Amino acid sequence: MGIRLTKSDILTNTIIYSILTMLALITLVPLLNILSISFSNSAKATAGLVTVYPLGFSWTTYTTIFKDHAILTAVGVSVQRVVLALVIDMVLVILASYPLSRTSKVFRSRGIYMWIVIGTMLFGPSLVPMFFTVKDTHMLGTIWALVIPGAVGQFNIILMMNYFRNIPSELEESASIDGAGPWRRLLQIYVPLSLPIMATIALFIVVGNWNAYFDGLIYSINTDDYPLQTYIQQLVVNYDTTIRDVDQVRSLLAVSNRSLTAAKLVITMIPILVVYPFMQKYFISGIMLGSVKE
Amino acid sequence: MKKKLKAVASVSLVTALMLTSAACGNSNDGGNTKDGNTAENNAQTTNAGANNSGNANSTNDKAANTAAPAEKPDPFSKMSEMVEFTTGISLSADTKPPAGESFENNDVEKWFEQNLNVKPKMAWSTSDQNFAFEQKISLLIAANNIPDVLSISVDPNGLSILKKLIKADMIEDLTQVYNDYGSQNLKDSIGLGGPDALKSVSSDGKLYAIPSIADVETAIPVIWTRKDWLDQVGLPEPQTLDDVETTLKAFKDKFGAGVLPSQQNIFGADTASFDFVFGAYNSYPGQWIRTADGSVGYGSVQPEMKGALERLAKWYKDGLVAKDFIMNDSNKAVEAIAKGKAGVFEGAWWATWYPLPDSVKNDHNANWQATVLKGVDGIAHAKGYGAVRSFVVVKKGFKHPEAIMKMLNYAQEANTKKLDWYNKLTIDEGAKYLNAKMPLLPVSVSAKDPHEITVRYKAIMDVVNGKTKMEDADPETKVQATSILNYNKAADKFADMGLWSLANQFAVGAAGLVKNPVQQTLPAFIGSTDLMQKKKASLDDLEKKTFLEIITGKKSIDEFDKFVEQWNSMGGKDITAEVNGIVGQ
Repeated sequence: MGIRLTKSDILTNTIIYSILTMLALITLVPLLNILSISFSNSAKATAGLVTVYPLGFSWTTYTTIFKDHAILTAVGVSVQRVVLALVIDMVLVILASYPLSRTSKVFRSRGIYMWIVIGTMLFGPSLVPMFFTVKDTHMLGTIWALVIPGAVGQFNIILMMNYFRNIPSELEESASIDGAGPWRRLLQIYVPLSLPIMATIALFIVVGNWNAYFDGLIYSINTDDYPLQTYIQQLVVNYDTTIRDVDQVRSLLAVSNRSLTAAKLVITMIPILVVYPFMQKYFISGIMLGSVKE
Repeated sequence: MKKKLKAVASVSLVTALMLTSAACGNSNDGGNTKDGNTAENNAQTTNAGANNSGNANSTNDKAANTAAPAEKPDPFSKMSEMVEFTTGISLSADTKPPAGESFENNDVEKWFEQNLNVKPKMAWSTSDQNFAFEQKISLLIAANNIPDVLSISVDPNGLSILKKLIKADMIEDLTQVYNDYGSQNLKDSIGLGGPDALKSVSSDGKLYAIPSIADVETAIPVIWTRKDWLDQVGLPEPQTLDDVETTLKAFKDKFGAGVLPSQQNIFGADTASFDFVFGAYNSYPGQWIRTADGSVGYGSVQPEMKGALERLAKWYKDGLVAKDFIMNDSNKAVEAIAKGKAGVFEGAWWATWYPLPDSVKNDHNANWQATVLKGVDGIAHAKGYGAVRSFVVVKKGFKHPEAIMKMLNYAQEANTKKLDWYNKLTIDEGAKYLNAKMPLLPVSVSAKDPHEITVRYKAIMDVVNGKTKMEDADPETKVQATSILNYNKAADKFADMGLWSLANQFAVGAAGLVKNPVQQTLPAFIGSTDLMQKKKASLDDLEKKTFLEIITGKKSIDEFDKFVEQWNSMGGKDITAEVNGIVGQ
């Protein structure tokens, strides 16, 4: 590099880098801790001795998990849910955002629709009416109960709508003059130009669906329907140790195994950790450079 | 809408009653009115193993002579036609049914189908953790969509759920069914729970649920101490609070382990709570008790509390209690035990399952012993749970509540190990369902002797010491005694931690319970009232805040009197009056 750094530059850089390093550590240490616990001897983990490297290294927790039929079923449910949600949510969000991104001149009743979207965002349904709706539409106990109720993300619509609005209208006008209809304008101009926001929203959808646990708890008919996070939540949240029945004590022995719980947590993190680097390349600007001269 | 529902409900109730009475009239049981000996009849079904030879009990084999309608209905007779019912169950994460089997399809269930003509259908299942089951039920009550039969645990909010169900008129009045069809064995066992057992699941004199009786001794706080450390510092096992203090100080000097594992749940009958301190002063926070003047009062506002709080504040000041105990839950508190940084803690008698295994795995020298402390008056006191642990309710309009009652009768026979075929499947060595950890009985009830643990401890020790022969013992005693004998024989005591936990559970844990005879104070009232639903939450907040502030020294002990006044004025007084009204009925 031909640029000479002055003393103040060096100082600034040092401060910035140390802050960034701190932030990185704050997020990394808990991850490493969970990872280490999952490879450690459970008794050492319970004693709180494990820091960021495993003690008494073993693979046993992982071999136990892959023999566990329940967690594998749960992974299956979660994967199915994420794939379905990604496709359905994405299509719905794009279809809703495009018309809403037009001006009121073009789309007369835009205001009404906009209020409907914002209104449902502000006043969500409470649990029981929601449960009724899902029950009466016969979705209980099916994968659709997890996918459909949250399929239209209002926040995602607003994000995408705003992005569409930032795309210069000259582009659309010129396409219209060349004879492109609305479908073609959407699919061949807007969608390709909006890859960054699509990637962002796709990530929101994937993470949101992967991490949701509460709906799995409510809409499942039996424990085989639990998605992964619901299954994990049942294990990880503080188990009740005020046991009153001797017959229940042995199950306490199973859930108090911290290494096993940590290993299950690791397994839930993997997909998100894997997906993220591939999403990274879309988070770049400059897509529209040179398309319009103003 | 409401009116319509009521009309429908009453019509269905009337029809249900007509049907049941018709069924009673037609039931041709052989007029067998044996009460205490019904078990004999049923235990005759030998070798009904996997192939299920289908020996119906002898009562049913009798020729159906026309019984007079006034004859007592038989609690164990087969239903005349197949009765199907839906139910919801909770499953633990480690449920492992044998291949191809499930709650709806297993040998036990088949037996019921063939011999009693009942068939359960699983409407839904939830996890058994985190109150998922209770959440589900609350939701289904709101949606008016409960299954035919439910078994609901009293803890944490079972009784208010029951109240809701009664109010919403969603469950059957079981008074008649229980009186007519409840087996003597079940009635006797429920009787052991005292008059409150049935009262707590009744309303306006009608019985709405069949209760399960808990053993009350599990609530007794046991003090676990490391014997190997005691020997090194030359102290005997602690007997009083003062001894605990001496022991902690000695452990601090010698091992740097002078802190009592403690947590924010200070009187929750939980591992690492302070129940033992409160018990020593004969005070019972969070529990309704009979006070000196015979009325019912709330334990947290009784004057006996002062001594205990004062003692805890002193311990906190002296550093015998973890400075940050307010931030800890029991899972955090037990870390010190596994780490070798604690030599005394309060646990349950079953602590050999949790949290001790990790401590022993980390340090094979750790030799934990259990005892119950004597109180400041020289007598060991402890709080108790209500005698009822869970209860079974039947949905309004279900046509055959007596079928459910009969199943419960059998469940009670199974619990008391009187069904040979059931014992074979579930207990004996190599039993099919020994490690399945799944619910097997279509509907279960467990009316146990409230003092089951000490009774069983004596039976087990008699076998271990050779006083009784192994073959004369009941199946469960056999299992426990065998495990203790195997453990004593084992060359490596820690090779099989499951065996370690099982053997020491009685050999050490239950032994600790019987060292000092305990006076247990059982709740005079369990459940919840209308006023409690409204006001109890803020009263509990005030209580918790005050106690924690007194213990941590932010407030002096004199503030306790002010707290009592405030508690009364904020609605505590009215709640107390309400409770006395209910108990006095």
